[in-house]
Amino acid sequence: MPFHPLTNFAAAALLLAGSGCTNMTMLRTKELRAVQTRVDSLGTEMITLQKQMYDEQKNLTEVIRLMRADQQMKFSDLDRKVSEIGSNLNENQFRLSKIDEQTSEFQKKLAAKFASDSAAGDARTTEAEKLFQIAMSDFNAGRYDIAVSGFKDLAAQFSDLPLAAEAEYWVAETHYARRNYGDAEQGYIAYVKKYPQGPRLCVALYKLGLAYDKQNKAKSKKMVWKKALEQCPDSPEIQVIKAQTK
Amino acid sequence: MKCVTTSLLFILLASAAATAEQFDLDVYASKFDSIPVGVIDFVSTNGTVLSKDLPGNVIAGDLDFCGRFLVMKKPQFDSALFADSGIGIYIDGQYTVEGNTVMIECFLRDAASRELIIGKKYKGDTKFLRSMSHRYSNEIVEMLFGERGIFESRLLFVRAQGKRKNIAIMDFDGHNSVNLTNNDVINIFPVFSDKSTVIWTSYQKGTPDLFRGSIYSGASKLFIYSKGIESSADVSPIDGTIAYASSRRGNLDIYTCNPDASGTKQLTVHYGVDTSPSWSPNGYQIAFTSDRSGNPQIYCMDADGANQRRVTFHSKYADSPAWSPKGDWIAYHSMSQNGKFDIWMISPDGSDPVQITSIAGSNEYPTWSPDGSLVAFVNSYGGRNDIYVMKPNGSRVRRITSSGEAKMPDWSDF
Repeated sequence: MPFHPLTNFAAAALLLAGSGCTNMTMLRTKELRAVQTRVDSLGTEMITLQKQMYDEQKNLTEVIRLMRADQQMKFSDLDRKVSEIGSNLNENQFRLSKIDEQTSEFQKKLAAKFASDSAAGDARTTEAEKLFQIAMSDFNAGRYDIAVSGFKDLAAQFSDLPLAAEAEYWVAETHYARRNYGDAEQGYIAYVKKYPQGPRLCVALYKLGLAYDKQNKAKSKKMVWKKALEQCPDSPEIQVIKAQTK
Repeated sequence: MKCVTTSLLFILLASAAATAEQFDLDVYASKFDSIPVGVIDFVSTNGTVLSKDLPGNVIAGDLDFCGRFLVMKKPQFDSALFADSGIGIYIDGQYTVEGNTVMIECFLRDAASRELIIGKKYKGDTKFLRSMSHRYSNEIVEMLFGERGIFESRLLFVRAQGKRKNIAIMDFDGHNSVNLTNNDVINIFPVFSDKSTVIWTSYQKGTPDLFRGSIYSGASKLFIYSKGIESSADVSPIDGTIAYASSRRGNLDIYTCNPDASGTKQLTVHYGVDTSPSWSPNGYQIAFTSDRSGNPQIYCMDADGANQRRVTFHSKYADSPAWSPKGDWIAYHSMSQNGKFDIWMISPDGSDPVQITSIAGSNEYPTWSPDGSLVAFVNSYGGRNDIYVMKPNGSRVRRITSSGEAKMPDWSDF
């Protein structure tokens, strides 16, 4: 550990105060010189140390500066990377928005397609309904030949629509109305077979029995009305059958 | 002549188109509402002047009545007035009276050139003077519109005099009314079975039964009867099958039978009251009144009882359905919120109900003219019941009886 100059100087002062005058003076002068030398040496050491300290401080500053520079570089790099990430993020967001737009566009196109398909379906339904009304007006006006043709065309062209079943029923009805009971019979049978759960099932069975009756097919009539009684016990037509067979 | 030819061509073409497409009633009416026609007083050829039923007056009345013409009646031809009024055709004629016989000559002419378009001559007893004039009116309508005229059709109705209610008949315009029954019991709901036969409900035997009688001889006989009620018949325009309401099995239901009353079939089986059947013009369906939903409403079904369905929903009370001759409408009377009845029309599929009458009093019992161009009904106001006629869009309302005691009309075929 280096000797502090002030500490050496105080020790010398104490030595001077404690010795005699002459001898003491000589001794003291030597000692003083030695002390002075020592002090000088200490001063030199101190300067050296100060210089070392300065150098070390300078080095330290330089290190710190370097470190700061390094940190700045690192921060800068970090910033750049963050910026890059941000940029990437923006890019991704942009791409996402593009994808969103494309998805939206696609969805719109899809919706338009669905709407178009739906409109086409509606248009078909409307067309079928119009044809049905025309055939019905022919039927109501007693133009049975035209009516039966209309109902047949409708059933063939729009077989995928619920109205097709109705049209097939009315084919049989029109035959019945024009007193073509054989054709009516075939029509009702076709309806019952094709639409066993159809809304006109009970009526068709009832009318089939009437068509048999008109052709004097009593057994067939009895059989089909029995089937009607089993399948449609609560329908108004069955009540009519019961009333008429009392 | 060119003007007339053009207008006639238009009328005939339009008429042909009308058969191909179904026009809205109002549109149809507006197109043919106002064909201007002049009618000149008929003149006597031998100085013997008719005191009433002058042919010119009767024809003018017919053409005005049917709603297809705008009639200008004048004592003599006036070319300037006719031209100013847009009249392209006019009718004139002459008559000769000799004793009880009359001969009338009728001419439809071009107003511009005065050329003859169609002329007819009729001869008969003076009591048929109106009929002869009506026949010429029919000729004009058939030539111009390609459809039969209604001027020889007639209406049955109930003449209610106190407790007595008798069946009567009159011309389409209210003239020549005659009682067909003359008894002290209730006779109601008359309908034409054919041109010369009537079916109605009578209490002659104590309970309501169906009677059939001849228009010409007045002879009648019990037709359909039971211990219960037999009432409100209607006759199929196709095969004469009779639909009626009967309670022979306890409850009032709709039945049908052959024209000779054989082959009875029960069409409705319901605890509700089913009555007032009305055939569709193609004889395939029957409209009727039923209270099975709680209140009287109009229902439809096939003529064999199948496909029964409710048609009216807009009011609490609907009754007396009458199917139009073209099959596209059912007229009926329906109660408004103030308790008053009015005539309504509805499509047989239950769509488009529309109120037709709005005149004061209750308006009930609609019946269609055979061509579907007019609807007759009963207006009850101030204790008086009279028969009125209007176009199906509710316009041109006119009263054809004035006794205040006419009910339940039924319009004949042509």
